[in-house]
Amino acid sequence: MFRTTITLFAIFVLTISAAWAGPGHDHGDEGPAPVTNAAPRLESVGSTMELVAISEGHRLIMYLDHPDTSEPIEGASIEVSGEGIPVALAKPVEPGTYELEADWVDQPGAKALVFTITTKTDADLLNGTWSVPEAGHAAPSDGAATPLVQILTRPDILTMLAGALALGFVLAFALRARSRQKIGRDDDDAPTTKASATKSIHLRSAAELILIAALVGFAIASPALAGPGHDHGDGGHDEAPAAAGGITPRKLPGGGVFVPKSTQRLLGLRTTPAATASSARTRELIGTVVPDPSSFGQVQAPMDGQIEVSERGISYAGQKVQAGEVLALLSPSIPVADLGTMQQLRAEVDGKLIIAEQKLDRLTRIASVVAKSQIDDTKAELAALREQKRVLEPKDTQKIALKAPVSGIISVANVRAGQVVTARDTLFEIVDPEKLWVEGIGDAGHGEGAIMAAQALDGEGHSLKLSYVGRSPTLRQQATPFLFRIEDSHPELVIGSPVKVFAQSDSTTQGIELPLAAVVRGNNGIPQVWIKESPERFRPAEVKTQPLDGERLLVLAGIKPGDRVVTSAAELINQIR
Amino acid sequence: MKKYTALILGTVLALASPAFAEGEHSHAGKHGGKIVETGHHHMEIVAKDGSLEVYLAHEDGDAEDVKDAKAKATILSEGQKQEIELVPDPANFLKGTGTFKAAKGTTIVVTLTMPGHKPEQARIKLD
Repeated sequence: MFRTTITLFAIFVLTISAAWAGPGHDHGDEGPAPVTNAAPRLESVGSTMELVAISEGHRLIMYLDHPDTSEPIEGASIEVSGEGIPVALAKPVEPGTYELEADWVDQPGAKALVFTITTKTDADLLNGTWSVPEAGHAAPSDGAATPLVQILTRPDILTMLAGALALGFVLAFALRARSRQKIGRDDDDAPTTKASATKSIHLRSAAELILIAALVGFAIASPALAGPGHDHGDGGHDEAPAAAGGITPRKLPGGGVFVPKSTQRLLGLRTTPAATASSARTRELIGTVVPDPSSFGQVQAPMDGQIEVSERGISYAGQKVQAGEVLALLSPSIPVADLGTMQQLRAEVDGKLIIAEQKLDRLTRIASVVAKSQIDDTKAELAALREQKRVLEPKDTQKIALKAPVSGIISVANVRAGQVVTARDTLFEIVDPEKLWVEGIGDAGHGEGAIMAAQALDGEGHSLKLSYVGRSPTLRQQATPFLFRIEDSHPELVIGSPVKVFAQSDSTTQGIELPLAAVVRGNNGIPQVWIKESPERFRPAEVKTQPLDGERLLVLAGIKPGDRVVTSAAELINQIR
Repeated sequence: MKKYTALILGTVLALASPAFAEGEHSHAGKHGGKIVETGHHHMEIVAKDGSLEVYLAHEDGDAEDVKDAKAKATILSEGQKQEIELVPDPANFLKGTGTFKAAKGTTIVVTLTMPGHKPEQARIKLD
């Protein structure tokens, strides 16, 4: 019967243990996982200010920031007061950092502090409890370590203990009653064995009581310490976590990170509250910088010949030229066959010229007997022959000037002095760097709407404003070329350089606009943003994004409006291990 | 022995059930004020022009005896800061008077020290 009782009791005990260990039994502090800090730390958040206080010896260092943007608040006056603490004004040490030197800062004990903060435009009251651990103890930080006394004084544990006591009493009473009854029975049967029987029964009872007590003890001890947030053991005695310190950024168990204010200041961390906006649907195209067709000129050799230096030398790539400017001279070369024909013609003209001269000479001498018309004809013939001779003079000295067709900068110059070129050789190319276009290659998707606006991002990260020129109706390599004019070109932009084109159509999508730098890649490759949960805690959130332009993107899912998203130094927070 | 078994069962059940029933605190102020949880207590702060009343309750909703409580309120109203002492009222609440206005944006920090306890604080902003 005893055994049955004990077995039953053991089952009950285990049932209680299981029930206690269930979810929801978290009597640690509400909120995120605790951060073990060696030094006391205080956080207080108002609607327009957030304050984090830490200590360095006697000095209380306060960081004052805007809760939404994380910008340091400069020029504030912070008055610190509290029970048994002289009212004192903190002095600014750095923008947004204030300092107060007082003896109470490192004196053990808990002090309720009130911070009266006044800025030029705003005033607020912030508060917090400043707990300095007793010497020789690690910090009682956020319920990470729970001393045994604290566990025992918790109401649930007290209830448990009281219950166990009552139960123990009831059991002891029950067992005692039974043993007396049994002894009574033994009395009648054999008085000689009375003493030994009594002794053995007492022993059995005692053993069972000890067993029950042990089970009860176990039942109390195990669930009470099993709850999350009760890291029993490394609280008051273990020095290692305390040495880890509270001023280094680190990863928290939940995947978030702890970034102390000092580090945030160093990284220039800023946040912005997410707000839903309606933005044009955008798609990204691969683009190349091309010259504007109307300000792109080529100089080709009109005929075979040899390049000669013009008065101002031969033009070179990078030279600025005006339309009509002579870039080089071309002296045409005459084929050998043509040369022979010309020499033959020249000899013939020479001969005719001599005959005509002699004829004129004769006629002039007998002018009185010949008709005046005959002399005039011969004179005309002579003049014609002289003109023929002049035309047939060797052409070696005649040169063709190669002129710039458009104004701009010479981008290609394939010309050397003395170089022999053939007709149609491209000698120069001239472009106007102020007038450049971008050719974007994309698929001619259906239902994407007309392109209303576009931006481009070049390799150096410059954003270029584009205006849409048109689209070729012909597929080129399975893609459609889109042409855009660059509205605000910059001198570093070169033809042929690759750019990313963001073309916005007239249809819109809803989402949260964020700067490109806010979205970083998580360990698993999924894009994520960092969200500020409290002044020094940040958590990652995976997001679905869509391109918007060269500087911003649109988050379609993953964060809620009002979430404070880290917009600068997100990449650095992402690196915290 | 049966009746003892029943007794044990009853004890165990009695032990197990009430401990799980906590949670679900009511946040509607009984006195028309704002309720702030301070860790051990629920503090209901009722601010009117020039007067401040603080009602104190346990986590389970029972009123706490405030006759030995020490409390102070710091009030920032329209850029002016003032501190007022809160004294226990026979009707079991803490009361203080000052010259502040309970306007929108007024911030009140109540610091309460119960005998033998660490100080507790509650901060509210009127709206």
